[in-house]
Amino acid sequence: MTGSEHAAAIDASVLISGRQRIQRSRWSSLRRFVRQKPLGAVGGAMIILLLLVALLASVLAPYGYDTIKVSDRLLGMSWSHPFGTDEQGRDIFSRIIYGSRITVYIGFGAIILSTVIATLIGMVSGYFTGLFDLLMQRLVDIWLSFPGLIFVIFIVSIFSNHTPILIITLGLLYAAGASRIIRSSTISIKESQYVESARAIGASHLRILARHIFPNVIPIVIITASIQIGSVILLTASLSFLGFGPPPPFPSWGRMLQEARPQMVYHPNLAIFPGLAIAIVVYAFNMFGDAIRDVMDPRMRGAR
Amino acid sequence: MKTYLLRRIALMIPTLFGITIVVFAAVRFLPGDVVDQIIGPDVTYVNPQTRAALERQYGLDQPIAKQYLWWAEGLVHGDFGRSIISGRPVMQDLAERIPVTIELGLLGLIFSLVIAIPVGVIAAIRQDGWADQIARSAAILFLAIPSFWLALIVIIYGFDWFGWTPPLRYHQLWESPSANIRILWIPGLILGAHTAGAIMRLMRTTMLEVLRQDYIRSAWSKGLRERVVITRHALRNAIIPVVTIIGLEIRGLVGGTVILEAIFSIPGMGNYLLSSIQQRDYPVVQAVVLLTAVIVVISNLAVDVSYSLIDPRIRYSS
Repeated sequence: MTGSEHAAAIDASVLISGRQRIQRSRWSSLRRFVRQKPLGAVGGAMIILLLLVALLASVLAPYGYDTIKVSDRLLGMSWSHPFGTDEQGRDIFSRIIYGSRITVYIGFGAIILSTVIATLIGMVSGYFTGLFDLLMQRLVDIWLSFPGLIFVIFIVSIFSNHTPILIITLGLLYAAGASRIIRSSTISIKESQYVESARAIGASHLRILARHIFPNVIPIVIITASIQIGSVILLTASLSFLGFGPPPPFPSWGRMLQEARPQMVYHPNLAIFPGLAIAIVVYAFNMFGDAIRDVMDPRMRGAR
Repeated sequence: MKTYLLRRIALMIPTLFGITIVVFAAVRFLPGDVVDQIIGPDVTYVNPQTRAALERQYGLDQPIAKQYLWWAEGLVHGDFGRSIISGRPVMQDLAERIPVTIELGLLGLIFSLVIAIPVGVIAAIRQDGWADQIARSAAILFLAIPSFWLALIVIIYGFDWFGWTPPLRYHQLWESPSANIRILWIPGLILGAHTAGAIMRLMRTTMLEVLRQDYIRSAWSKGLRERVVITRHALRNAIIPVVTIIGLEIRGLVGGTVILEAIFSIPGMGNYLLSSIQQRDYPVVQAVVLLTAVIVVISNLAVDVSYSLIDPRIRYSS
């Protein structure tokens, strides 16, 4: 048993109670979530805000993201430019608002792709075990040996830095880790009596996977995805910072930080605000993910 | 223990093999063939004879499996090919960069452990006290703040705050240890911050779980001192999951060195990787990606072995 399996092993009884919790009325459980996990609720509210900002960027931003006005370059903070302007006279506040789109697009895109792949691989690998599992796990081992940032830089440098390629690469990268967790919970669910009964009445593998295993791994899938997304966003920002993110002119927070470097010692506002945006968004996703885990995984209750 | 170690090493072989396949195959997807890359994008016409000669020289007229075997055979001898830009063997250029990156990564790991383990333990012992509140908030902040942002902030305000400026010239550890540490300690600290956050949180959680167990109560009721109960009884069990997370964090630490090397102009593998990508020097890129993956695999072996040293149950069950 490797380390990650050790950390991820979650027994079936946990999953069953996790499922019961979901089935309670939506509103009352939302109220309970807010009361028990105030930080998680704040995180959730911030995520909704982020989504709204990304959606309404063109309405909210006072200037265009690439409106260049040389006479206004490197202005400090003022009422007309809350966060100042950059070297080309572009409004930093507007660029941060538009930058949220890339964050949302790549963050959610990669996590959705990763979750789908990880669930498929994890369930099939954990359910059938044997040779398929053995080979699959060696593939996952290989995948997990590459440092994420270096691997994505490598792939992007070979193909291109267009957003779909980034989403696919990041999705595959995160799928490997998540599939381990889903695999180990599939293994424990497989041993439960209801799966044995289903097999006894002659249910096909497909039916057992779809009707008995899948609904019970959903909490684990949600926990894993909500915990990984903050890390995806951080990695995307690092990529943009190093120049391997989505191409200009559309702004990304990571690239804004890179562009700030020549001027930042005399104009710290260039570097402070984009970084703050990244940190706040990652913080929100981390808080929300933690709360989701605590609510869905009773082992963590009381441990905070 | 010996069989465990042998089994664990045997499992590494397919992984290492797979890593070489991925790296070898990925580069084949580059637009144009290797000859185009050697010639560069500026030359539009190449005499077919020159092309054929180059192909022969680089073994490109051979079947792909044979090309792979040649390449892999070279790797076994530490031959990573020649840089297209400098013409020197890649290994020669890497020889003095690898220790720099490893040193930076280790500094990050050491800083994160030295900070996170005691703080996590104290936070658990004083659960919900002010120390716990501060430690928890700090851990959450460390997890959310991008290391490159922290690095930029240190460059902007470092001199005002603690009289530190990024050095103009790099000193190797073996040339001048004190000058070297003066350069690397800040990047190391920043690199370790994220890992410190993760370890601190887990350390606190597992410590809380362990402290509630019966054998800890027995230890208290035997009248043992707090120090002994915490370090000898509780910590030894609580630290096992922490070792797991160290294994998971190593990838992040190795990746993080690239960013910090770039920001602080540290001449390690990461900086070499970035400049080689810009110059499309793919033998170098291949070598660096491969070597960082191998570093991760070996570190994970080290983690697993230390895991079984701390917890005898793992040694015997497998």
